[in-house]
Amino acid sequence: MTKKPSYVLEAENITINFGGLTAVNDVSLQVPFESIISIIGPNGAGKTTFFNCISGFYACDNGTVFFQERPINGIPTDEIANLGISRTYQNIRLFTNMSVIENVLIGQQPRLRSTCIDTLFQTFRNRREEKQSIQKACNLLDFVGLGAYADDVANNLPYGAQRRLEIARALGNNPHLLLLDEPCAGMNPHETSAMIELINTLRSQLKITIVLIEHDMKVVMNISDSILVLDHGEKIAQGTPDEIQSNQKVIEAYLGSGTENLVEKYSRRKADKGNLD
Amino acid sequence: MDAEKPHHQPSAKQTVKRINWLRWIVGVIAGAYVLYRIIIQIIQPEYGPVYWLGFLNTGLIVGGMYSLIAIGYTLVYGVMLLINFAHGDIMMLGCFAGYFTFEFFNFLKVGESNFLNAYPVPAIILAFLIGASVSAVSGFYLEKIAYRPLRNSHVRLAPLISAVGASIFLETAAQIMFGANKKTYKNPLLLERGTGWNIKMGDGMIVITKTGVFSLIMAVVLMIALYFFVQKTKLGKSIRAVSQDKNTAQLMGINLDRVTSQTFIISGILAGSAGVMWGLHNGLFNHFVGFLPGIKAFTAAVLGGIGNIPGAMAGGMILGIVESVGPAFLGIDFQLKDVIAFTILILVLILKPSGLFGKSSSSVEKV
Amino acid sequence: MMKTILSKSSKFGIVAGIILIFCEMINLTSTLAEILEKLFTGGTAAKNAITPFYMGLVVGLIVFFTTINFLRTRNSQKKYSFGQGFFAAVTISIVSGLLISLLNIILGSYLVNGKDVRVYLEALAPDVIRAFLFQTDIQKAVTYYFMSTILGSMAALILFWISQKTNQPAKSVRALTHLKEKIQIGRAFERYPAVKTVLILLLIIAFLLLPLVINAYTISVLGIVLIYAIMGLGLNLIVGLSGQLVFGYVAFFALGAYTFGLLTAPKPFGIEMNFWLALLVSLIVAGIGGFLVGLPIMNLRGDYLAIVTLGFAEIVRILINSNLMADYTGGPQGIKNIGQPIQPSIFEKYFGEPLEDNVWFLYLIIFVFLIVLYAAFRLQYSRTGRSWEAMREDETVAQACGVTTSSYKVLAIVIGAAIAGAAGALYASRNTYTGPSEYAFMVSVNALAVVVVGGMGSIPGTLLGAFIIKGLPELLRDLENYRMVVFGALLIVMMIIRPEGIWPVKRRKLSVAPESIEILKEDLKP
Ligand SMILES: Nc1ncnc2c1ncn2[C@@H]1O[C@H](COP(=O)(O)OP(=O)(O)OP(=O)(O)O)[C@@H](O)[C@H]1O
Ligand SMILES: [Mg+2]
Repeated sequence: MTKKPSYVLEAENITINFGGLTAVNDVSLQVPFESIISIIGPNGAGKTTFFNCISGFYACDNGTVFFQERPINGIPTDEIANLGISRTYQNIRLFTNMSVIENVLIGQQPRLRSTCIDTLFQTFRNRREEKQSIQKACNLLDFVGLGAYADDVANNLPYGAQRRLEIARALGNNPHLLLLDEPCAGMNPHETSAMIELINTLRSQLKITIVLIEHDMKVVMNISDSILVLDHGEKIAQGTPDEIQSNQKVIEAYLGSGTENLVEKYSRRKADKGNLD
Repeated sequence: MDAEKPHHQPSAKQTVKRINWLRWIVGVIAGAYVLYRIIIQIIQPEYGPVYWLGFLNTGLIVGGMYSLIAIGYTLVYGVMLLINFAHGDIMMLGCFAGYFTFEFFNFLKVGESNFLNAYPVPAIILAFLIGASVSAVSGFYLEKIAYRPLRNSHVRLAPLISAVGASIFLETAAQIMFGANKKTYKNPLLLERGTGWNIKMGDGMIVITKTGVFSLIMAVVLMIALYFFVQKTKLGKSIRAVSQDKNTAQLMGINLDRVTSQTFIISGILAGSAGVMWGLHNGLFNHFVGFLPGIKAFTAAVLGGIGNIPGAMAGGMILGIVESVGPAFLGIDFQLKDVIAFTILILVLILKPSGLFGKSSSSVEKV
Repeated sequence: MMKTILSKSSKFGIVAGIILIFCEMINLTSTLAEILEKLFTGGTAAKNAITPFYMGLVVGLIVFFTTINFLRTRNSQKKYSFGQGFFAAVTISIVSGLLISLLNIILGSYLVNGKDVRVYLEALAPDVIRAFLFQTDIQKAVTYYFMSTILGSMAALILFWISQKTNQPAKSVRALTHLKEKIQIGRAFERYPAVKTVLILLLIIAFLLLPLVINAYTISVLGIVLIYAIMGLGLNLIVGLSGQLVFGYVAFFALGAYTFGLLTAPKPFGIEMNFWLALLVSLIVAGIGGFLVGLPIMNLRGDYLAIVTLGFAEIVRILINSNLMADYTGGPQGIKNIGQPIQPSIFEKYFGEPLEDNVWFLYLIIFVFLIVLYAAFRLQYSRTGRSWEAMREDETVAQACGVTTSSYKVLAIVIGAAIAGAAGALYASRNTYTGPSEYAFMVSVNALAVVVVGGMGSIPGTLLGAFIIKGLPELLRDLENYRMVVFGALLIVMMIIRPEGIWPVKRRKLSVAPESIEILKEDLKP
């Protein structure tokens, strides 16, 4: 690479419509290297839709997404994964009938080169690559703390473990940028703090840039470098956790008017709701 | 990990949209060939206009039946996202039911003649009622036995495989029970096969058969009735709601089980009527009668955009016409008319998978 | 309470009655009775004089199972007293007896009046009706029917009651599972991998020696079973792994057979190519066919492939039958004198004399089968197979994980089609003939049934499926006519009670000991 780009991701004036509904309206976001950026906002604010646009699920109606200074609008999702963006899903979506380690192996798809011809003749390349990828998958599982579950069927994992498995799978393609959609939804305080730790290690040890959506204010305030607040598809604020906490507009968006106490209560309720899904 | 893989570098153009090369190649080739045939037909016509009108006539009649069956596919697909593979066999059952009704009336003596010819109109109405209700009942139970237990199956293909199973079951059971040899419909004299009005045109003549006219009118009436039914009644509205969003529809208090059952009943009624028409118009039939019309009607449903009711109606008509005009137009053997229908299916899926009347932007999945 | 029991049990009675009527209309009852009689009396049963006892037995058995089913399902919701159970059993037997007697009264009176019902109901020849009338007059037959149904339901009631009181079945099931735990074959394999290798080797050797010891009929059955196993392995890649349904698999089979026929038969081209070369070409041609079919659906979600392949199969069938292609395909006559491979002289050297032709050909089939088996194993447990499975599980997410779903779909279809092509070539060569009538829709259905019954995505399941679908019916020739009916019903029942098949897939253990995080850091450098 010639020169290091200034941002991992730059979204410029993104607008997405569904029929008459403008789910995301003219939102811009810049994500510097090795940062953790959170997106918050009430339900239906358009957070997931914004993610879907970055990861290629939806084409945006207006605006451009630059990934390392390359425009990536309209590229199919598999190529986005090739480029080095991976993501997790708000409603966990694992390959439920496959084993845990196979899930992680699928995540490495963009990094594997052996073809089905290699497979049929069991070439040296195929053997080596298979061995390496299994080793890497085990390392990843160990890293997220699922080493013991490697050969279980993914569907049988407990809820929290499934979320972590999604992260392990997302790490398989050596991402520059990791998009986490509500990683702590439905977790108890203990699991949540483990997840916070995991996210912090992801950045500090593996040098991965992270954008996450989260309703749990404790998590958000704890780990974010910067927070983007969406409401009805519009960006209503962006800043450091301290700035956001005292931002009147944000408080109004969440509560109309009220206290921080209520914010916490809200987030806990949201977490409970997630638990039921 | 081994050597760094060069990242894919999308050029500015590529970022706008990946061009579907296949679509273009196939579209251009198919278009060019059709154009070439049109020119040929104009320069040295093989058939006179009378023949073309004759083909159109046959096409409309068959098309009407295709439409009726295709609506069943589309309705069920809308509600369950399932290709109801046994739908053609539901039509077959209707055809058999109509056959037995006519046979029965043929034996029933009324004075000098038999019921069939003494009271042809009630006989026909009764035959349609019986055919439609047999199909409706079998559709209802088909759903209940073969599809409902699989609605939440963790194996995605389970309902479709079950549908194949049902289709084979019905077909072979009918074969063993009624025999594999072809049977002939006993039409009342009023609707005798092959007779009708001969219309002289220039040097030729078109035969407009009574059964043909009757079938077409019947099909159109049924389709109009269905259209109003789906647009205006509560059940129709629930069917449309379920097709759009199953979960939300359920939240709005729509009983999914009930709507699904009723959808099968409605599509059974249409298929059964089509079966009786098929028998009246074509005469010969056996247990296999539903197979080809079934897949062709599915083709018609795809042609019109699967899930789209007016689309299925139009698709059936178009398919019927293309199929009967096609061999002459392309200058091939009439044996090969079925090949045309399936080629159309493949072409539609390549060129416009959402169908001629479907919305062009494929709906995006929520993740 | 009594009222609900009455309504529920009469419902079950109606179901039993309808089953009885249905079985009678397709003449299944008397066929089953005939088989039973043959089984017990040693093949003396005459087709037109089935002993009434066995007819009654079959009728009773049907009612028996219905009653058991009723008692079991109802009992799980609400316990019955013996009296209530008795009441229900009587209701079931009376209702079903009424229905079946009604049918036989009608049929019997037709018979007495000398009318032949075969005009409408083909299966019911006068002899058959006589069998259904227990070879007596109508009145006695009705009595017999009621006796059979009542005895059947009473037997069910008593058996159920005894099993309830003693809990016998539960105990035996528990004992069986204990046994399974005790044996622990799987764990033994894990501990001593050599045992598994030796066992597999032994199996293969036994398999290879098999053709030398079995008779000609078994050889031909085994040949068909193996050809279907090859097809099943190919179809399993598409249906079981990549999750795309194929209804017209026979198209690729036909493509392979006809290509092989054209290349090796003296007419129409007279190429008479070498067997192996022709096999390869047939495989490639079928693969190209698969590619063409795969193109339109590669970007589509949903079950379009099913219908597209069905359409394609019809196109192929119509074309090989048509006048247009008759010069090449022989039209309805097909291609005759298709080449067979020449036996290498090694066999003669070792065995003293050359192998018989059919034995030699069976070895050939086994050889191809083993190659395909190897390929299927390799593919399934590789990156490719995993991507297919991911696609089957969740296509959207698989793509977002970097699986190029469109090309993987086409790849699965191409490989599956090529394997079917090889099977077709073998089939044509084995019969030295190929004609359009051999490529009906039913072949596709059989292939699909092989995959589904054994277990979608499971290789041993597919082999088992081939034995069940093609092997068993060959052995039960009497039931030939009912094979397809049973398949149809079996597919439905299978999907409802055991969609994963008889021998479902087991996930392989892959995990290895993890390394330190430093290595991971190095690994994850983008
Ligand atoms: N595929 C789609 N088609 C139509 N409308 C959609 C689609 N996806 C999202 N929407 C709508 O866009 C709006 C924003 O949805 P989105 O999922 O982005 O919200 P969110 O901020 O993630 O909310 P939550 O906190 O509940 O996850 C919602 O009104 C939603 O119904
Ligand atoms: Mg969301």
